Amino acid sequence: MLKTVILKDNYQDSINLMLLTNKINELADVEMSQIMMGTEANKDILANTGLLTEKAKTASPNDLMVVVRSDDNEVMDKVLPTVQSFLEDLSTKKTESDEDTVAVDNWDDALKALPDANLALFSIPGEYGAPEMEKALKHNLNVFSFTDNVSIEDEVKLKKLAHKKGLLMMGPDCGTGVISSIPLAFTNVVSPGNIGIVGASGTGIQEVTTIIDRLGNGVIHAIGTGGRDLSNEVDAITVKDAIAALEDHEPTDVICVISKPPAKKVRDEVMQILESCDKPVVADFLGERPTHYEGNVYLAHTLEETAKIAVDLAAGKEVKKNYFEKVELPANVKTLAEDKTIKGLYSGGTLANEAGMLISEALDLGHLTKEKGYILKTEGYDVIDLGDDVYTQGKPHPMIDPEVRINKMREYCQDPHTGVILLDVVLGYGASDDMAGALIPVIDEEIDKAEKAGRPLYFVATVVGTNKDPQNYDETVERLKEHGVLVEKSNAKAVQLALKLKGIQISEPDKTNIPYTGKKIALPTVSNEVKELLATKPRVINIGINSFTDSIIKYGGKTVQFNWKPRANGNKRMIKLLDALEKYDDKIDADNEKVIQRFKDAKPFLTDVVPAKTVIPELNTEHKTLLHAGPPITYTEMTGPMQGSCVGAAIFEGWAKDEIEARKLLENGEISLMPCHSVHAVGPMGGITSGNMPVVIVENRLDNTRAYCTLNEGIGKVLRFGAYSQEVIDRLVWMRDVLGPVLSKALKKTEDGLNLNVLIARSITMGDEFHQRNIAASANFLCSIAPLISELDISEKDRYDVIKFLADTDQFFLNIMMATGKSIADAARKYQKGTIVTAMARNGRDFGIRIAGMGDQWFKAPVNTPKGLYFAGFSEDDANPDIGDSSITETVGVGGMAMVAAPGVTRFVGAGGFEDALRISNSMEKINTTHNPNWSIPTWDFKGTNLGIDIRKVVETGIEPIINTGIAHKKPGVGQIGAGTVKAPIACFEKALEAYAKTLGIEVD
Amino acid sequence: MINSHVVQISSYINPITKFGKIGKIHSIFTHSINIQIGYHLVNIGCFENYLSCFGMNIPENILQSIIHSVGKNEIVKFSNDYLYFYTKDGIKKISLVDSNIVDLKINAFSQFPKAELKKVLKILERKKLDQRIGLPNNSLFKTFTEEMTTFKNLNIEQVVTWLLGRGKGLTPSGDDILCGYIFILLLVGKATNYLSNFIEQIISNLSLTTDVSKAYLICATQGYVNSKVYQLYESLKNHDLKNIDRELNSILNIGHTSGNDLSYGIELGILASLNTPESMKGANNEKRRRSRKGF
Repeated sequence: MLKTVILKDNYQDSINLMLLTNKINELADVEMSQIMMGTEANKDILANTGLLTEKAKTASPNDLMVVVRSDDNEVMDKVLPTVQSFLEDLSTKKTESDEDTVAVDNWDDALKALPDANLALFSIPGEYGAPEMEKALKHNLNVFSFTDNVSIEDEVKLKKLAHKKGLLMMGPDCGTGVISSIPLAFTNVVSPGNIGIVGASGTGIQEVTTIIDRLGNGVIHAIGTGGRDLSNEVDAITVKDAIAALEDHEPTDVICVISKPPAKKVRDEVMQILESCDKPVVADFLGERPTHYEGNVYLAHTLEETAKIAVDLAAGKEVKKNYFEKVELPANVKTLAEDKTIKGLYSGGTLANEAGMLISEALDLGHLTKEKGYILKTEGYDVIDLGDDVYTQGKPHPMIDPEVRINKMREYCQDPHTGVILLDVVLGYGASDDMAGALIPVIDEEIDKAEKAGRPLYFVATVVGTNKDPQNYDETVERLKEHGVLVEKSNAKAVQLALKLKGIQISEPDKTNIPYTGKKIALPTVSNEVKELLATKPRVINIGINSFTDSIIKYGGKTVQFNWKPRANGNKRMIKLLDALEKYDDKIDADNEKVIQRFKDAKPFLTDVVPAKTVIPELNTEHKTLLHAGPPITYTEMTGPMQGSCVGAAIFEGWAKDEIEARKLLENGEISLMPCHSVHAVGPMGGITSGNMPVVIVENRLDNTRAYCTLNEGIGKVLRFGAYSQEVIDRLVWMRDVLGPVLSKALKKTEDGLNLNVLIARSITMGDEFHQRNIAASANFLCSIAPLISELDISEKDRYDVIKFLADTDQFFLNIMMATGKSIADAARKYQKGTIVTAMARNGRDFGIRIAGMGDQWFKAPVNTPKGLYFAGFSEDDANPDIGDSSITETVGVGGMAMVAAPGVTRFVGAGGFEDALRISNSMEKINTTHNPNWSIPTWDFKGTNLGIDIRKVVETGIEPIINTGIAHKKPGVGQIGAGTVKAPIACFEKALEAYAKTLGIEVD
Repeated sequence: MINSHVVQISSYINPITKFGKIGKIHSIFTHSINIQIGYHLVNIGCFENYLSCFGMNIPENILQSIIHSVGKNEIVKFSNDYLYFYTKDGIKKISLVDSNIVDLKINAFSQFPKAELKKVLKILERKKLDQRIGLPNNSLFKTFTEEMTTFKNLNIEQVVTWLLGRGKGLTPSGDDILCGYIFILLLVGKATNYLSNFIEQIISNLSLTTDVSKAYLICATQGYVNSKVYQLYESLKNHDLKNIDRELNSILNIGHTSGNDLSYGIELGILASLNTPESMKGANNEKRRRSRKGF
């Protein structure tokens, strides 16, 4: 049933009401609702969706109609408080991260947004990494590169540059790091403390830092270096610099160094540096089995031992000879039979390495395997690093996505020889929100299957994390235990337990202290930049994965999000073209300047309103002809609304008496179709224009270029959205017989017509952007024309009807603006050179653009469907693909280009506010050449509107022009169902660039 | 980093590393924080006229900057010259160089200051503290306080376990009463066997109360008191009671009800010391107490 409440004299902006309607529609008992001002047009919309109640019909245009369809009789008790609270606070809501993070898309803006930045955090594809990191270093930023797949040659080059400039180059392939207690990338949240870590291994750092935290101490810095730092090629450049930095950092009392197996020569060099430190050092060179502590350096066998020695040293306690702790089998657990083996399925590479090492040592299996993905594959004992490239190509890392591990678990559990599945569950930022939750059902299932088969199967796990991690260590451990998993407090202990299940007890020998007899050397000098990095909270330019800013903000760092994109979206062909065009830059820029000057010099005047056929000869032939929006298209290719408009126009012209006849004519090709743009015209939405429709004439007195556009019909059921019912035809007839002639007569009373530059300049200061919003311009137009109409010798009824129609039609000026845009663009493109866009238009199938240097040629690509707000009962599924010539407004720098002039319009695409409007205009500025001084925007510090879309810039940046647009229903006759924005497809610009380059003799394969 | 002179450090926590090198933030208040190091607490405040028996005072602006940054369980490193706070906002460092060590240790008087104690008792009795303390003045309370002052039918374990942790807040009233009571009994050096047993019961039952109260009670059993009580001790020792009203008021003003509770404990202690029968006097067991595990 329908419920209606009329809130008297309660005017609200239509965009807010659309947002409110969406909110009410989300209420549980609401089937459908519509909240609108009580205008006649809005009542039509209610009627279209079956919501026009008798009570709603009584609403005045200043009343707010709340109509709700619901089975709940008391539904308004829930709806009205929601309406009230929504209307009481219409401000745009910002999230915490909106306020804390600024997003930019280039280095200049990033450095402007965070002028004291001292660290660049990279997570972009490796193939683009090195040059960008070089830029960061050249901007004196330390670098943390999560980015991998950087060649070793590039790594050496970058690290040498960093060292020379006194900066730290952490990575590439540095998954984990903590700088001044701020977790970076895939990192656990650990307490700050007096231990500093240098690690050439991601999960090694994670295991050590989390054990330290759980033992009650903390880590102030964990400097990742990337896994190849201790190779002969890289020569531990970062490890050495980082050790020196921690030695210099006063609050660090203990230095830990963790590394995958290093190159011998490099290891010895690093040891010499460590022995030369005044602070105690714990070192774990994975794969080595140290028998003693040497001098200042406490060599550890496992990551757990590393953490424990560090904690004792940090507390000023004496280091013990042995840190090994025996684990015991739970009471009811028996050891496994001889034929059972252990399968380690690890997401962390270093943890897998450690497990492989410990199992191999215990069983004397010899060296670890080199086979891809496997750490150990001997005598039925397998340890797999599921983070290896073999498993991650085209897939997320197993710390994020459990799928690969689950498949492996199932596979191994089928093997009757599998006795123990050994797992790591890594928590922290970047890792899966709930890895335990993903694994538990499979564990339950496999334990159940094994029990039924009468064979023992154990799951042994280590959890890498702290209680400060988003996933919480204790809770994770508890959940795993509840499901029968034997959880140990370290990876080493988990391996020990797994071996114990096989009846094998491992142990560690006592270590003795032996003096260091080698030579001590001077440590590398620590630059002020690195000192400052370690003494303060980092200020981070985050280039790549947006979520990496979360931990930085949460733990007190500053950050700016750099939404990096590869040049030309990484399109190599386009990059080659852009490179080739660079040597023509001066010539192209000069040509473009000439075109743009013609844009600036434009002097558009509204001079008359006449039947289209009187100024467009193509519509004045014996052959029936209609104009349409966008690039050329046939009737059968047209989408529903445009076809509907054709039907309506055929009936209006008297060529057909009804839809059936009209469609027959159209289908039989008896009505010719041609683009408006081909005849100096433009048409909104369907753009269908016939000979007897009145069109405005806008004359650009720069060179007397004329352009034409039909008159705006208002909203609701209108021809331009594909409606062709009798009321639509009747309105068109009235516009032909009354509105057009009256406006013509009124304009003839002016000497020169209406100066549109003046009218537009005035209206932009009043909040119009001339595509989605024309309220001010329509009112200003009415102010100019009404006195003239009042003097005309016409019937009072016509006078009233015309003025009333103009007063009611907020978007009346849109069509005048379109003709203005066309007159400006057509004058400019008479200089047929350069890369400036001179037309953008859509026909529902294709989006087409023209550029100055390519004359009348269209460059087309499939059109997008707009995103926006929909009237009640409609969704994006109902929307017609983008349609209309109205994007001529964006072509001349208004509409979406001038979003900042009318920030209210951004709310069509979500709950956008002023910042979003500013962001959009700033973004559009990057693909335009200059600003138009004729139309200055107060809310943009009086900058002129954007001017001169350059296809080179569009292709280079990958930024697609944003078009503000109405949304038509895909079925003819339904009309407008919403409004929003749509992006011009990049492919149009790429094709235009390719064709233009060809004229200069540039072709790429 | 913050570099400043620490104003005052209680002799109980000197040298500052005596309990260990690494501590953790235990509790954070508007005007002070407690650091836990091993089983011990160190209080860092910014009070002008008060120093906790296990505390130090630093300038208020520095303390506030630390309070603003620290979180519970964050690490604090003690070195002889500095305190380092490893906070979420970075490392804060306080210099301990040039700090004043304030003696807050009381010692038993060689002579029983009967006249002075009677004067103090008179002042305290006028204040009707039994109606101002944080415990209900019910029959059970009356029975126990009667036992504490007259020693009749006294069951020390029962009294101590009833008072320990009784009352609201971080320093429950019962504990403050115990602290005041012990202070007087230690000071007069009488009833030493009884006091020794009394302290033993407190130590055995510390788990009944809060960490902060525990710290006060441990200090109290070792003869450490706060600076205001120490001032009273000095006046009694010097037989100089010209400022006694002001000094007692100053104690009464500590905390919400802590000052009243502490003063009431002092009142009970004085009554007990005045009533101590000859049979209860014995050898000083302090040496034994101090050698007890954990202190």
